[in-house]
Amino acid sequence: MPLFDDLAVSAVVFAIALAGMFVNRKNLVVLLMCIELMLLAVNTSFVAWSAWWGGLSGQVAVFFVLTVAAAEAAIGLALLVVVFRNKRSVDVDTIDTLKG
Amino acid sequence: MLSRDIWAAGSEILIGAGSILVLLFEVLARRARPVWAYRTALVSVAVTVFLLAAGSLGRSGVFWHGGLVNDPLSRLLDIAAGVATFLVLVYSRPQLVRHGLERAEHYFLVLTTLLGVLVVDSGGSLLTLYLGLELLALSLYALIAIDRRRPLGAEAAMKYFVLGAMASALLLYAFTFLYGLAGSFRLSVVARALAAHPGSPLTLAAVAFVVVALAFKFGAVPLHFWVPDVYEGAPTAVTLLVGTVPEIASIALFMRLLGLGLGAASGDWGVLLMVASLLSLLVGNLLAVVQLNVRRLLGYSAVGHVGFILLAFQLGGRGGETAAVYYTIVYVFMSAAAFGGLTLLEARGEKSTTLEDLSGLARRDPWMAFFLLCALFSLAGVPPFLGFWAKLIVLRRVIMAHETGLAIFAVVMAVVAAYYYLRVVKSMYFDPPPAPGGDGAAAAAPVPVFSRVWLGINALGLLVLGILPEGLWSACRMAMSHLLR
Repeated sequence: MPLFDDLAVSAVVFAIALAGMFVNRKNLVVLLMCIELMLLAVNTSFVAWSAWWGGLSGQVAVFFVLTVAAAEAAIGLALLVVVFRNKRSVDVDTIDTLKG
Repeated sequence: MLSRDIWAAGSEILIGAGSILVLLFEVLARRARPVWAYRTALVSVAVTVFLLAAGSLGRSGVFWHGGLVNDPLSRLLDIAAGVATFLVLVYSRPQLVRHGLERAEHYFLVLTTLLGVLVVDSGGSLLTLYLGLELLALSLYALIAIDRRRPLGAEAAMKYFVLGAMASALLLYAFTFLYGLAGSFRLSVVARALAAHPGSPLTLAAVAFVVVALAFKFGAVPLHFWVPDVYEGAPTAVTLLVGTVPEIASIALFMRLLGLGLGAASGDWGVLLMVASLLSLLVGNLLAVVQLNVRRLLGYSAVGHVGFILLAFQLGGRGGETAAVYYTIVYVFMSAAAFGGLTLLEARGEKSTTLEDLSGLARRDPWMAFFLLCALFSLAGVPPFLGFWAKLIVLRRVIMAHETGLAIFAVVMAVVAAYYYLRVVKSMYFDPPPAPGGDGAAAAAPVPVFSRVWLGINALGLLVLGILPEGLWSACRMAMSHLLR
């Protein structure tokens, strides 16, 4: 049953990325990688459903998601540079001046 | 066919064109002063609001295979977002000039924020909603960190970015489930598919992820912790934007996605939203009491207001949803007046960070103190002001749904809220100024009359509309009775 296999891969990748965001307490770059991985898992899921329905709209959506992911990565890395210039570090622990 | 239907997206096209024009100023005419970018932004927003209000931007309908919806609700929310953006631009410029932050990029990002809100307002498919939301969020991340010398801004932006991107990814993952159920991105098809498969595990997972993501975007407890951080860390002019315009997109997202798309599963998301609403009322209002920083105080109070909005929304049905939309629009203009006052105080060269900075303001600048008083009384829900009617309508809906316990809890929390708002008023009117002799007044620069007049219109509007509340309420009811999807 190919749909189930594809969705399982997507769910496992998504779970790894989500776990990475909570387990990783060290590096902001790893957090950005986790975000990208989540979006890639979503893309896998879109393609799997699209193939199952036999339509193209899910596969078109993947291009939109990829574009947004690229913009998100650009802004995330820019923010990372700003944080590094201010703090001289990209550790998660150093951004704790504001106490939610 | 396309040529006529293109005006259904008229507001989006106008604001998009305006934002590109603003960016071109920066690229092509580097020596032109940023004030021209400001004027272009102001004119494009004003023209869009005027054309929307005149009803000349496209007919009602569903366009482009359901991607775009033009109905009275989208027009009402577009107008509210446009007016709020206009006020934000007018209030923020004097402060940006004084702090050397005025650049064309700032106005460009404000316009793309508005564009994102407009797209979400009229989103008829999952994909449109997602793209609008991302446009809005990405513009905000950049704006919060736009003052590169300010470490707090970079930190707040980074936290907001990581959590916001995670919330967006969760929302998108939920969208893949909905797409899997329906085989289409159209909200009407999704709604039909959900009604056909009630309570399937895929539906439940999608509802849970959607509620988590939307609660984050709106700043509801337990996903509220970014709100006070961003309100404190962002430059004041950006806090003014974050606290107003995106709320319109949040309520539009709730209406379109939960109300129209996932309406069949309202039993499932209703419970989750009720818990989020009660926690927001409790945590937001109690934590606001202990804040000494005015912006953190307003941040936690925003969480409390979101509790009120969700309390109305979770009732389900058009009545509760109308009350939620009404409350959100009213809140946006109260928040605009409050943050606008703080922004203009900074433009005068005063600090507006802590309660002590505001003490004795009534003696230094009676009009500004009065405008802030109007905004705070309205936020607290004191009777002749507009904020009172918003709270009353929500409470009436809750009591009509026989949830008297919830209504009593909400009233108690509104009383707590009145305490901390009145504490700010007391500080402005009855406390002595921080440094006798008034060094604040000596350093004060005059605020441009244009900005002051608009703040006055905004603040007195809260009073006048509070005395004549019928118009806005019937506009909301009309918009909610002709929904399309």
